Amino acid sequence: MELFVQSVISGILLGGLYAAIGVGLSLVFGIMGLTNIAHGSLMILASFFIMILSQQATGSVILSLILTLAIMAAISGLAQGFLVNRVLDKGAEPALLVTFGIAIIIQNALQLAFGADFKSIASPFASINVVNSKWVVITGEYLLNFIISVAVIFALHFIVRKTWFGRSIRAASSSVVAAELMGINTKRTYVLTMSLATMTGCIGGLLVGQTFGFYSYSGMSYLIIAFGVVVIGGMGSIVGTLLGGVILGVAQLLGAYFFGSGVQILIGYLTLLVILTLRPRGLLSNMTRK
Amino acid sequence: MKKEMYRKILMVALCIVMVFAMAACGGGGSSTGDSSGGSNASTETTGGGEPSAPATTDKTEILVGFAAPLTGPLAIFMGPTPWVEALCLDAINNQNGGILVDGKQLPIRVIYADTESDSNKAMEAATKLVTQDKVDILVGAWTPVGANPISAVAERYEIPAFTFGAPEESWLEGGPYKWATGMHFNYDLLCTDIINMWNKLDTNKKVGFVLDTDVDGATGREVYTRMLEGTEYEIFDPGAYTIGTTDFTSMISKLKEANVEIITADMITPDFTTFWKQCHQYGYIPKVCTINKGMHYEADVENLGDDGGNGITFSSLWDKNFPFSSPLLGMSATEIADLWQSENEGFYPYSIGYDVAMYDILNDVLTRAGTLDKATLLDAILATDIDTVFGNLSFNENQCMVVPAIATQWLPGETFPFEKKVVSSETFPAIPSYDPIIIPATTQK
Amino acid sequence: MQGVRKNNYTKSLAILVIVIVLFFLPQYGSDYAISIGVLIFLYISLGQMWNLLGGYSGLVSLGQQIFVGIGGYTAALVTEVWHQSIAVSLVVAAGVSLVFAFIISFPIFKMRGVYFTIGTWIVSEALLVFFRNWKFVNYDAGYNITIAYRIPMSQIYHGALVIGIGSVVLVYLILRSRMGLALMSMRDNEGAAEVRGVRLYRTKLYCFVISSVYTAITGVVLYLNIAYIKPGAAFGIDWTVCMVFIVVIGGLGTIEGPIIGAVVYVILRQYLYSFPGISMVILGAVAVAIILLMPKGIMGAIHKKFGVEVFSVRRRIDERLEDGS
Repeated sequence: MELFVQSVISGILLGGLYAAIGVGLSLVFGIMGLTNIAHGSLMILASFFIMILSQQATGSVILSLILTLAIMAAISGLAQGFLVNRVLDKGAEPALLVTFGIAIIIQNALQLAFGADFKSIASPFASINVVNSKWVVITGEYLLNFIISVAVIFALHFIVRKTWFGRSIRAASSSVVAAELMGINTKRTYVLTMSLATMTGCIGGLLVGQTFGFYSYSGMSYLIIAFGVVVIGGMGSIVGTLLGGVILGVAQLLGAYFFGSGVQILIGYLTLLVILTLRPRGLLSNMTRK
Repeated sequence: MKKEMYRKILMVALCIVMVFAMAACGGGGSSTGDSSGGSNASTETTGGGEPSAPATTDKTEILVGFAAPLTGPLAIFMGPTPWVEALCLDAINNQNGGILVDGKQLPIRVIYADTESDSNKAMEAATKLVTQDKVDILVGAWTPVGANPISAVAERYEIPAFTFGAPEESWLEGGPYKWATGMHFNYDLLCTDIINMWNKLDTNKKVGFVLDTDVDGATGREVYTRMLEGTEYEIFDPGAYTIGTTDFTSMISKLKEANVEIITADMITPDFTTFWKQCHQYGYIPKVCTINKGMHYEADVENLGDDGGNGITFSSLWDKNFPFSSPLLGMSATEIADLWQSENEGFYPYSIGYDVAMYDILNDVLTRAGTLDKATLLDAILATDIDTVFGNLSFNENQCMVVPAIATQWLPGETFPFEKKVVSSETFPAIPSYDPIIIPATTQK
Repeated sequence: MQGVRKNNYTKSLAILVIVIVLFFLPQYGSDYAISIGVLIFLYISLGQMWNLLGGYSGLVSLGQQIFVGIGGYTAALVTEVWHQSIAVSLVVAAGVSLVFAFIISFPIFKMRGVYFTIGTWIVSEALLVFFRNWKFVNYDAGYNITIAYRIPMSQIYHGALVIGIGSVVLVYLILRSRMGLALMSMRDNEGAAEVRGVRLYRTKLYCFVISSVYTAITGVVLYLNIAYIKPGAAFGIDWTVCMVFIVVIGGLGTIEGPIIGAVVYVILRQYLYSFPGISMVILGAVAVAIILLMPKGIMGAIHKKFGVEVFSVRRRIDERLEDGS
């Protein structure tokens, strides 16, 4: 029984982290209909920046994160402006290949630059437990991940729903032509959307780097988690991503509770497939673009 | 009509381009079949097919083809390879003036092909080395992902191959081999030393398995179960886990509940890092934690944070305290490791030992063979009996030379935050060992 | 009218010559040329089958490695564990993949567009984890397909040749058939096609099943060539990355596209062996560069510039009229 409660709580908290990994993907898809394969690799690139900056330049994780947000916003904006925007209106497949290409370049360039060994970002909360009872343990790390993720998701929700920028990207997502007639530069909006999405990925990268650590090749394995939470939440639904993350996290840990750790990941995937079969457009898809 | 003609010509041209591309793609290759020349392959006598008697007089170098994981997760093993290559080839080519082959002193050249840490690409890379570069000997390395497909290529094209860095058991699943040979560690011996080490420690003798579903995990489960049967040890097996698992709550709770004091884990570095951190968070620190696969590198142990890695035990595949030396370099294991540390950053990686041993053996084999004829070369490889940085090595009946894998422990060091000490080496008694310690309770928070 | 016929005649002759030249490659080509040929033909087949889904049916899948893996594992189990012949493994692979494609079509055909894309990837990842935990397939350890060591490369080459050419013929026939018309109309406008009586679900299902079964058969020969199988490699996303590369670089929705794409992909990869370490960076950059320069792929660019098609699936009414004038 203790283990059951523990699994559910850990699953929910872990799900918050999953949601932080995925939310940028959801935004990009919702706004420009792009399946961004490079999202995971961009996230790991951010992890590397944060690690290197905090170790060798700033000495502070927060400061490094702020610098990395700026750097990654610039990098991803440039990639969007010069590469992805050019093929976006040519159909799904060319854009898919371009993002694949970017992912491959980032992964291998990271290995060339930083080697193949395993890295992590030091976490001040790694050894602090918030709740440490006989019944249940809540680790500071997981709780902090969850709080940060929820904050990021609601901030993003607010930006998209309530600000002028948000209105312009929503306009671009519902009709490119109408938005352009209204004087919105959709290509520029796409660049800003990609930058914003990658900035959420930076925070995902920080949390992943602190909680699990990373290789230059970790991007792809986190990408599948990101895709999973985004599709069950409903592509384009920002709050749905949080729900998706929590479902996946809980499904994995309860899977381990009932059937053992070997099938933990499998149960996660099967849950995703069952939900997608029942709700083929995800649980909360309100902003989805056809 | 004119337009029609234009189209027709273009279409035929396109077809020709396609034929050219497809048939002549290996084009370089197909022309080397008859005449000499060709792209970067050095001149070779026979085209494909049977290895007939070579007229080696026009050879200018001995080509060693190394299909290696230069990129991907396994690339970590290749870290010191360029350094070792420079050192060893300098010894062979410059100091000894090459190797006497058919009456001519020839230098060795190593050609790399990237396996991308993927077994599909490993086969492609090795095939390219054999058929395009026409290497004289094929080398393949690191884990079954590298060793097994490369051995398959050697068997297919009947070329002598030397593989290393995998468990003997899983390499042999692809056997029996005729052309492929191996320098691998043996799981039975590895586990024997691990259990010997546990014997030296005061625990409740409860062993918990934290094994992945990979080949090492499966082999580990089989071997440990067999060896611990009928002893005072009691096994607790919560079931295998899948690589890439991010949360071990369930596993840790079960281990804790079963009051397991000895953990034997088969995990890659990221999984173990997550697992061990979560163990600490859940307040579960076993007295002994033996980890295979991950935690071979000092940087990984430092990554565990503060004192997290203190006292972790693992099976070391090479250590600078091995009382052996390399005949090619004329240096002892300690001297080689120290030289690495003085010229590079950080703690020496154990794969240096494998790389040096490979060059020791290559040098020895080629010198004894005195020719590049494939069959003679294979016989020379199989007759190897050499003292190298692993001690004395020779092939067993499975065409494998078994190298030590002995119990080692990470302890706080002088030069580096952590340094490793051999703590049990009964399977290779020539290697000195110290007494292991129980994981200090101070690491608990 | 005559010009067209003559054109067709020349074309058929040219294709025949190419096939004959390729068929006898083992007689005059080097080992290297043969090994490259094997890869090219098998990748042509993978590309054609992905193109049938992505290029014609609008089903952009990231999960076709499922069937490569099924084919490969069938080859391994049938020859290595049950000691049966390769022919048996081809039949079993076709059967297993047929059943599996039907089963997974129920859930994943409910998903549309990007949900389908990601759904297929999740199925493939789930299968990867399942195989890693499945005793029947030797867990994650996989198999060495030892029988494949002794198969002469010329036989593997001919197998690959048949499969590569077969895939082209198969796609050509499908596109020339009623189903092809349905596919074209679907690709151009799904709604309009449905109104005009095209059974969307059934047409897509047939395409998916045909593509899956043929990919599995290709997988058998792929793994006879590789001779070592393991879940991570068999169900790896790398297979799909290479299919997408081949199809999009070559030209999506054309028969020539995957052929050109496969030739470019295989030769480029071979060339990049000379740049160990940075080869993948270059490969990624080349992919991005080609797509930016030629968004419709190499074949699209050629077609636009010269109006050349080798395998035309169009009904030639317009051309005849043009000719008569």
